[in-house]
Amino acid sequence: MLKLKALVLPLLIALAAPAAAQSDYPTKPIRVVLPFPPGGGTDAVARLIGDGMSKRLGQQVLIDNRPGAGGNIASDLVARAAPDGYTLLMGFSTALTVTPGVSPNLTFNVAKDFTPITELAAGQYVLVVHPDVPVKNIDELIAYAKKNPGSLNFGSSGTGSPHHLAAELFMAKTGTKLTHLAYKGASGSTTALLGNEIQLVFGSVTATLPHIQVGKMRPLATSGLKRLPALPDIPTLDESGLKGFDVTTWYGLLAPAGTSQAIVDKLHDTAVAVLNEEKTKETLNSLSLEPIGNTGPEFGALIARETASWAKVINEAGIKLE
Amino acid sequence: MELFSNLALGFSVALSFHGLLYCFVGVMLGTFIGVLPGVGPLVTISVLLPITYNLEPSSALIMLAGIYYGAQYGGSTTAILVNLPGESSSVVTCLDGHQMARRGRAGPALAIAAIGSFIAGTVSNVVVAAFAPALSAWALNFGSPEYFSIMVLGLVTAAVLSHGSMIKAISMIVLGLILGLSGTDVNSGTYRFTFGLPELTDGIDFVVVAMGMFGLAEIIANIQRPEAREIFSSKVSNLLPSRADMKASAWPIARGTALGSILGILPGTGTTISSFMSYALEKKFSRHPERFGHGAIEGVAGPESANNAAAQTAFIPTLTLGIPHNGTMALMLGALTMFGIAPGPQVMTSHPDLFWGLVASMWIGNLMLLVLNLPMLGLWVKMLAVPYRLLYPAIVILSCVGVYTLSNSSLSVVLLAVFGLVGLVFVKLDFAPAPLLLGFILGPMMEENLRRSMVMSRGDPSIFVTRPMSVAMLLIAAILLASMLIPMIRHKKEEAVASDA
Amino acid sequence: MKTSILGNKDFLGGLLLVAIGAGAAFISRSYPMGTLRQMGPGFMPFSLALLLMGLGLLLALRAPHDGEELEWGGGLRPVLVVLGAVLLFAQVLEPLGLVLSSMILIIASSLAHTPFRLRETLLLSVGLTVGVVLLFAYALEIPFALWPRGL
Repeated sequence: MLKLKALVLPLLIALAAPAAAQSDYPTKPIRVVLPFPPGGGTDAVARLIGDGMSKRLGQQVLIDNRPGAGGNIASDLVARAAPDGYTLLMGFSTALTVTPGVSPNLTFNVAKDFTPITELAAGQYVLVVHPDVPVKNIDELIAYAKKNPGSLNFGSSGTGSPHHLAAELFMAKTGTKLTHLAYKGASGSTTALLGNEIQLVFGSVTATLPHIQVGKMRPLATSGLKRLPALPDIPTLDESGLKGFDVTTWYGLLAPAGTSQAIVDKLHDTAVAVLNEEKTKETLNSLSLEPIGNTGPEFGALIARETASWAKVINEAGIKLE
Repeated sequence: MELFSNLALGFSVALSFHGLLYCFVGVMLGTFIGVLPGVGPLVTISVLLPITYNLEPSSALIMLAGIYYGAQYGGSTTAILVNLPGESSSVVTCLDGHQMARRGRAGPALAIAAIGSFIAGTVSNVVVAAFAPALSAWALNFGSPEYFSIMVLGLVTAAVLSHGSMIKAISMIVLGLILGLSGTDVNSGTYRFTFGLPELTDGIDFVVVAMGMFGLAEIIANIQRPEAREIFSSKVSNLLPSRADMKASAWPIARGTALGSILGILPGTGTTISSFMSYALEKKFSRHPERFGHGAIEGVAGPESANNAAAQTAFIPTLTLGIPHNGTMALMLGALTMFGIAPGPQVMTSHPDLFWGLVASMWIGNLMLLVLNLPMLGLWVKMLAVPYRLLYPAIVILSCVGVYTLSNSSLSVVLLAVFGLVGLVFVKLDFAPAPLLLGFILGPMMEENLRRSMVMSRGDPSIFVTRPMSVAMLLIAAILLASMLIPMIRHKKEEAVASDA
Repeated sequence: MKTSILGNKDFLGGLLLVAIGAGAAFISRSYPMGTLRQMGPGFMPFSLALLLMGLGLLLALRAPHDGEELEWGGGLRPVLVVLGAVLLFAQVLEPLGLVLSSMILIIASSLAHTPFRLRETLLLSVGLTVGVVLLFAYALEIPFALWPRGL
């Protein structure tokens, strides 16, 4: 019986113990939840900024990779976390603006459950085709796709991923029909494009640029409103005749709603300071990302704006998401 | 010869003071991490990543790679000694390696694993050095239908793994496939078999299933049989493999090396399947297949060579295309990006010191592993002489904490207990757990490739038999299946005749 | 050789498979099946569940011919104690912290073994706990709470 008592006693003590009071934030490591698996550009950005923040905050910033469900897993985790500043979300554009809107039984609400801290960086996609596809520009691609409806496959990293939505938007704007193949992770669709299993993809700059440089992928256009510094000769889709085509991606830092303003401010100032470091700027540039660092309310407005515009696109284009 | 000048460059990097130092540090750390149940190279590399920013890119890559293959090596040690497979490739090593250990032959088992791994590492390294670009181009011919077919082949070979009933083996594979599907569906984002638990939306971690069904179940079974515990401490015959052992292992090592070198190139699938296939191959080639599962040294030599060869050639797509195989390699590529080196096809030409330095260091690392580990054999074997009542709580605590760190979730620990129970029940009912584990790993990949193939063919299943590589693999699978079923049926008939008489 | 069918390994195993298959089929019935061209998330799990039920049935039917008798050797104590200790660890790790829960797990799992030696077990639990803390919390920098919350 003595043994049982020895087991139960600490349990009772633990139950009776009051919650720890927070004063000199941060007093323990901060966890940044990322809706992507380790590796790749996003992970690198998170680790770079996390590393910089941890040096300034004097506490470790741990990157917690929680991929899946288009980002809902990570968002849900942070939405339900204690608003004490020790669990933050590395928000990704469509994971916050699209996925929640199309997911049934959603357990969180982006507008209500998060306090935006700052938008960290923004980037755009490159529309690339396999070099065997006989098209050199967007007009030719549209003509080719219209002549051979459904014969071109495009890859994405899952239904509702930005790669998928950008292609759906492209189809809606051009009246073409492409076939969708979903891969787990961006590395799957890169391999598939190189092997000509898919013929086109809206790929990230980091995933496509090395292959563009050796001629294994042919860039046709970029997805933002400004040309990419790394590919100055490649027009935007907007310039190529698809007026108003603007798909960008961004990464931003969010805290669970209810986090005290003092903590949010401290995190904001730290993140912006890291973004202003020369080393950060260089690395972001090498990933073809633009450092941002706006205010929390500005970031919140961006989320609201894009949520509305994507909803409109999904409705008008009749995109079906299961 | 360009290859030789390249290799000379590589060795000049790898044999430099820094090259050797970081290779040594990586290999040692990796072995240590690999030996601990439940702690993988992924967590180690993520922790070390910020430190590596202060190193030269080539030193950093050499060290991270050393951790990766050192961990694989250490994992085999744990698999042989205490039946705990830390990763998919060591599941097969458990089957006969641990049986050898129980028969007082832990020394030869560990030694043959080390020797096989070294030979396989050397050969596959030459493959990487000589044919990396050609092989990565070849691997691109593998589309979704080919991946699906090779997985079918892998599953059929898994049915060979178990001794005893084929129906039971196939049932375990199917059960594994179903379990593997739990989590989020890539195509639709639907949560499947998550029972409303958000922690399960990422699926169940392989390590939890493997450590529960093998490790925990084994511990309980050992405590249940007091006499079995004594086997460990019984007289250990000799540490090194005998001449007969070496002779028996020569061909398995050669075949395993060839198999692993080829399959390793296929992202994700190859490394896992290669050790399972090698085991099946050796069992088929053996004149005494009934010894398998009871401490056959071929069953350690072949798969260990295969998985080490595959681990080396797995670097080919990572280095030549910048496409990572698994989380660990993705982290290594991430490290390169931070150095301002865009991983991709140009790395070989723009940073030859990096590529060739890594190739050369992998060979040196393998040599280090062999040289470091042979003298340690005695130490490992002595560990088994520790009374089991002291050893097993250590295994339990390390497994539990290790499993928790996979996703920092208590649910993983609960699942460890659940799969421990599942493993016990199935072993009591004579179901072998190894086929379930292979099914578990391949389940989600198989579904993904099947669904993509069907979209590609616009709903026509003939896509699997009209593509040459796919049909070839399905044919091999069919032949293998037939070669297992026919003797079984014949055996049954003879049995029936005998009982009639 | 021929004994009660209820003690037959293959019969029991077959029934277990049928039960698991039925459960899986029941759950996956709610996921969309899709078409052959555009398979839904329910297609694979449902087909596999049916296959598992079929295999289980086959095994159970052949049991009188193939199956061997189940042996209940070994006793339940190791099963209950080891699994119980692991489950207890899962429950107390977050509230009690790594140090106390490690000690609890080591002591509790040692109870599976007879005879239980108190002094030895206590020493073992202290030694192993120190090792675990050094390894995971310090060397691997995993964010564990070492002590109970609020202390």
